[in-house]
Amino acid sequence: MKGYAGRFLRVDMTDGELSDVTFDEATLRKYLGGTGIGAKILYEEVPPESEWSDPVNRVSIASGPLGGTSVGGSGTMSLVTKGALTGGSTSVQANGLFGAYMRFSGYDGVVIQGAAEDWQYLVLRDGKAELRKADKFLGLDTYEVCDALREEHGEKGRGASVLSIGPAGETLVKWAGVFVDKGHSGSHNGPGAVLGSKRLKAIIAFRGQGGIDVAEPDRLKEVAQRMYEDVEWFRGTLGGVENSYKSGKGTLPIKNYTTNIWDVPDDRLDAFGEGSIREHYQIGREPCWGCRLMHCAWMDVKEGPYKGIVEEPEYEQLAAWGPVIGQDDIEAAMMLSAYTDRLGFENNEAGWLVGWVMECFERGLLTSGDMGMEARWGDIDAVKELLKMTAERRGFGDVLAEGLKRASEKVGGEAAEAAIYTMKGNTPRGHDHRTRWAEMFDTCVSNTGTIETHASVMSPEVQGSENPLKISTQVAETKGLMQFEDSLGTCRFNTRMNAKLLAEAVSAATSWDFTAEEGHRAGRRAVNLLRAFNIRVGIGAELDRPSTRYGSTPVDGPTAGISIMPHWDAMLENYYKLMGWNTETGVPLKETLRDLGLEHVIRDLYGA
Amino acid sequence: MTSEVEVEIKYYAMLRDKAGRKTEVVTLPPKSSVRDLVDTLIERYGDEFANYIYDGEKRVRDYLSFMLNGINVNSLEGFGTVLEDGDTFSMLPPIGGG
Repeated sequence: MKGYAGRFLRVDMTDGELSDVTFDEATLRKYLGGTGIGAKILYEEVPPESEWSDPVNRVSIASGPLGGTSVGGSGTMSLVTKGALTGGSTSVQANGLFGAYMRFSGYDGVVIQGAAEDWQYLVLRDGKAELRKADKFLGLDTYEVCDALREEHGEKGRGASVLSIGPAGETLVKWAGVFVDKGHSGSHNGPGAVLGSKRLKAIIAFRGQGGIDVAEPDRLKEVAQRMYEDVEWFRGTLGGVENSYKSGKGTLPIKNYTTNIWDVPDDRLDAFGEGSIREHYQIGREPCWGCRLMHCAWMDVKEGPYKGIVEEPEYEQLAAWGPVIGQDDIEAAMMLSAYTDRLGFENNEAGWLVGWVMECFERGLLTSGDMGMEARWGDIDAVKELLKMTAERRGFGDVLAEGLKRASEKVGGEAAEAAIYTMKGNTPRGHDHRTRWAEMFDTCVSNTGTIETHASVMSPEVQGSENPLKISTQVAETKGLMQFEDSLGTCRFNTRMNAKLLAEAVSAATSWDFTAEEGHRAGRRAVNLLRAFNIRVGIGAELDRPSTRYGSTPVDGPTAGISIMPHWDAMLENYYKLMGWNTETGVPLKETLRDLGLEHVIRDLYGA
Repeated sequence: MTSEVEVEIKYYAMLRDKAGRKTEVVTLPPKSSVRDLVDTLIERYGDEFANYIYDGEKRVRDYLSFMLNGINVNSLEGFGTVLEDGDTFSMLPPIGGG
């Protein structure tokens, strides 16, 4: 079959058995790969009443029919599992080379199940797979284990790609992530903890001699060129802190949402600009598979207390380690971004947790007696110590390892009111969503512990904090586009949820007559499967909302006094209606499931 | 006498649809600013184009990025940045972090 390597690898960590799994063409066309196949596997194979750390949990790591092709950035993998923070579904993606090399090794995806007695890592190479002992790699951070595994197998640089967990994943920190080729993070909702519970430290996939046989290579190249021309302007998210604050719209998150005013000298704010960072620190590019964009690079902070080589931070990392914790040194923020990645933490949760700790300490709600240390706004050494103790689950770090929702509930009182999270248990991305209502709403109704749609496919009038019903309408209407894209093995910055071009590319790769509508439906199928899984776990409509602080009203700045909460219930009812779900319970209606070919879900949710 | 400035405009995503083209060259009076350029384009392409860039109170929508010769105008003088002959100006769609 064109466009596919033709098999998945099932890895049973309990007995070490490796076996091939094949899907027929109709199934592949229905679910495609990546998030779609992952949602199918999660729904059909993981009992909703099981725990995330039970051996029966599955981790699906899959590419799709565009993985490793001439489409730019087609080294992306999508990971689906029952997540450690929410106990519900998760779907995360990481870029780099892994998705492509996994396909070149002969596998469209791997499904990890069971749990080993001893730590292992998986090798994928030239059509073969093997589990090996991982003892000597334990304790290594995500940069170190990537280098160590490449060296172990005699590879330098880009001949092999490594997917790994850091020390935080080894100690089952509930917000531990999965990292590809050092710094590409697929980390929301604790997938690193799930792999840690199975004692799988890493997967190494080799470039080898393999390739993907696509149906119409010239047509695919032509579509890939049109995709590139649409996105050639992209220069990463590096300058987001400067741009966000200078836009004057209150979208930069500052000091745990306690203010929208960042009292920072002009030169310090300018130092967060993309041009300034690249000019002062960039030393070389590290593009993902097939990517021609000006984005991923290595940076060298040559001197000073934060010196070191770091991978180009994303906006959200600089937001977390700059304004969220109340500090304005760009080099400190860059160093902390790499520090967080190396330990294997999800950076959004890390920033919100530390910001919460600092606010609580400043207010006397947490003391040095509670934590064994002080943690004032902007204290860089305190950040490092908090992260280190959390990765080690030492002292107060054991509380933080449970994630912000649980940690804040455990501390209780006013501290519990100060934490930013959705009621499902995950934290949002690194913006002040009190002015980005579409993203706050989507983050709260999402089934996966992170966003489920994206601003880039929504119109201008729903990008801020007006038009609540239009916002919930567009969140509903665009739902499924992201999941379609994440089923194909491509990077969102390269393909930007352009369903028309993605469908053309799928047609060229597979010879199917594939349309944008079919792709959007496949995405909505995945959304409904993940929703149904969550409903069966017990995650219902009452959890589709923000925490007190997350849904609070800004006290100053350009959006002072403007609150989303009076509109929330109406937005939710509208969203459920447009999704084809019960408007009170948020349960997908029978006709919605039937229309998506999910009759088995009807039986599970409604009985025979 | 100071001469006019020619600026190459590059359009992406929804703005390509609204402008009906990927790129064009616009000629402006000397000492024109980015704001003058944007207002010229709005005059040319109408309300839908305007609505993409400005909200109802004529404030620039924050999710857009405006690049002059590859540098975000926020790092220059914002919409007051004075244009020079041969400049390239791009209006970029939302990125939304990463």
